[in-house]
Amino acid sequence: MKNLKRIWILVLTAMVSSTLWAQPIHDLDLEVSILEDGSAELTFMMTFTLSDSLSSFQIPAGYEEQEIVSAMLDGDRITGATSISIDRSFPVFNLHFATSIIGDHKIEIKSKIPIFLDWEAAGPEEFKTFNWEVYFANTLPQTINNCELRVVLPNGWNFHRITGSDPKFKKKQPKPPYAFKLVDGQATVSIKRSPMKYMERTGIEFAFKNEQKPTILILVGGLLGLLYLYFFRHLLQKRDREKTIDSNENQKEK
Amino acid sequence: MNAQDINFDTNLSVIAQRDPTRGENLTKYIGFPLGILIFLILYLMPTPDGLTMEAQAAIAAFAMALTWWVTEPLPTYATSLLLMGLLTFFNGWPEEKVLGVFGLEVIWLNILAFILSSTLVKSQLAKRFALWIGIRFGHSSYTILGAFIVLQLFLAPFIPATTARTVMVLPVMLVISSIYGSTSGNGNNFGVNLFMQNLQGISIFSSGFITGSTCNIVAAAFIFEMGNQKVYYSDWMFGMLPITIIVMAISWWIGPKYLFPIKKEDQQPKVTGGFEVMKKMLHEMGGLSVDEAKSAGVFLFVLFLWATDRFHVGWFGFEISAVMAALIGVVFVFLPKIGLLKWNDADIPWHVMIFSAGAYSGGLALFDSGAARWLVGSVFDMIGLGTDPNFWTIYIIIIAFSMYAHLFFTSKTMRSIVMIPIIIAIAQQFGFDPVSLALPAAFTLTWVITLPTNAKPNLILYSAGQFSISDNLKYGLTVATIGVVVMVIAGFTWFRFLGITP
Repeated sequence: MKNLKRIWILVLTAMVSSTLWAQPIHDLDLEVSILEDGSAELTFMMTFTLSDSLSSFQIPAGYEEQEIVSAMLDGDRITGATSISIDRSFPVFNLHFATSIIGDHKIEIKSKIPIFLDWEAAGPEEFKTFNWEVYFANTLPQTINNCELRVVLPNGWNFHRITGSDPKFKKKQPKPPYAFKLVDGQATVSIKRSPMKYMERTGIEFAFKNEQKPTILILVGGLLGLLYLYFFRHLLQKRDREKTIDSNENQKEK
Repeated sequence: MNAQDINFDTNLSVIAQRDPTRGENLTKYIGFPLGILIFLILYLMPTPDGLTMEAQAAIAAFAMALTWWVTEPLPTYATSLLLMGLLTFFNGWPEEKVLGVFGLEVIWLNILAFILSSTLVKSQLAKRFALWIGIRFGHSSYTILGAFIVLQLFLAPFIPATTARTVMVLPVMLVISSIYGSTSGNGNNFGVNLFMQNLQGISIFSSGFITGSTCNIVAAAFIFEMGNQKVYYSDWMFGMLPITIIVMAISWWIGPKYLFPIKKEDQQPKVTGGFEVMKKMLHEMGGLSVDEAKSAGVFLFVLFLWATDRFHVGWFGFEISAVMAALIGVVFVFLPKIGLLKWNDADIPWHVMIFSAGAYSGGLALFDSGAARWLVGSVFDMIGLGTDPNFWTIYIIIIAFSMYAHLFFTSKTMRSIVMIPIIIAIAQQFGFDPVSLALPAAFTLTWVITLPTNAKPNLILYSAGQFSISDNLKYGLTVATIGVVVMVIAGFTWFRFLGITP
């Protein structure tokens, strides 16, 4: 079934434009911002070069369930004769230009997925962690030279542990393929794949949890510290001799 | 001194006791709440940029353990156990990984090496050799000082426990120093040189062999696990043993000549009866016993396997690892009838094993969670080395730092666990071969020669009253600085010839 779908995509793509194969996507930058209600806001930023004059163009969309919120081509909002739609069966964005275009271009598409994170399926597990994964695949034949996927967690949540990634992090690699950053106070992880060929994907599997930590620790820690200071105050007054401890004592034959 | 009063036995499972100073008691008193405070601050603060919550928990738990290892409000092994608990309870490292540390090669090799060293002590082969070398070379101050350095060189590959080596040689040293007129109440510079050079020899020669100390094995394990490069016994020995011999030769020369000149009248034995005591002890031992011969055979066989590890595949079709070589020896010594030991004779310091396991789990948690990488990045961002620093600049900084770090970190294993992963990460971050920085740094880990509190052997030797803390500081800092210079020169020459440095 999966292979059939791939063949179907190839045939359709070839039908849309035979010259598409020669149109490289330089950079595709996808930000998936997960909201507290489980929905996600997606921002696609892409630069591409058209060596032939084209009236339509396709961009890998990654997710079937998304709805386009806005789209900008070279800084201008796409309206009127120039249109953008999503073909959910692949899924791809279809761009139709009012007049054929050529050369370097930049496009920004904002979309929304109403149900992206299923909180119940994600957890909570041990230590109140939740597990989720975000992947993005190149569903079109043209190679994406550099693809970067960024996942932004809801406010107040942070990454606990990375449980998997594509590309994988191998031990002998000096750095993992992913990196963490706080952007406007929100925890973000980004992962890159360069280049990303047809049906290759990039993504990350992670455990995350609420940043709030138990403040009772302050009370417990403070109490333990004070108890120690009280019961061991003799350390300030006189010299103490530690008792000799035989760690093998219970094994020795009497 | 009667021969029967001298005790050559060791009891490593018993933790050495001593009276803590007022300063140490104060440190201990402050250390407990300080550790808790550090943990709370690091754990409860907002997760810093670039760090996961798991890494933050690992850093907080490790920082608290580090504080407690240094200040010792709890015994070090108890702190290690607590660290393992904290890593689990605060989700700094998965429980199965924390518990799995006790099954790692490093712990097994330690246990097996301690069993083998028990064999040497039990058979009295170590005692015989110590007595022989004392009698053979004890006729002038320089030759006897040199003989003890050679003795330490001989013992280092066979007995990884520095405390055991110290305890075995100490009675002989006391006899020799008294022969040269240096006693605990009335010492002279011969005693200072003898004790200081042995203190240095015990520590420095431990760096000549991968099995010379737990911290060496830990460092090699880190280099293998994180740098993905195996350091063979022979790699380590050929790399570092010549350096240790050069530095100890310099120490042997500058000590009596410049640092603590021995008066002419102290350069010859003063009490001839002292030799008689030693001769009597050796005479009473008789000829080489069967047990001694067996013990020597086992040690030489294990040493042979350790030293020829890189040829095993060609010979046997597979490699006999350091652990398996030791295991073969241990199996032999435990055999009924023909063996040498019963289980209760095996002197294994389990508290050291527990301490090592805890410290190792903390170090691995820092690496696995990405905390070590983040810390290194942050430190180097602060230093501002840039993105393309010169290798030799980093090499010199790392050698100097790792050499003098023993002034602040008392445990060699702890330093190994803290520093080696960070140094490997530095090498990887800047595109250098991890071995080129981590292995030379690991070579300096056992050089704990500056203060009596740096290591257990230092404390034992200091307790003999033959040298003062200021003597130790003066001699130790001088030799450590010579060590840095020799290591830097070796980096440009010997290590480069061996392919360690680029």
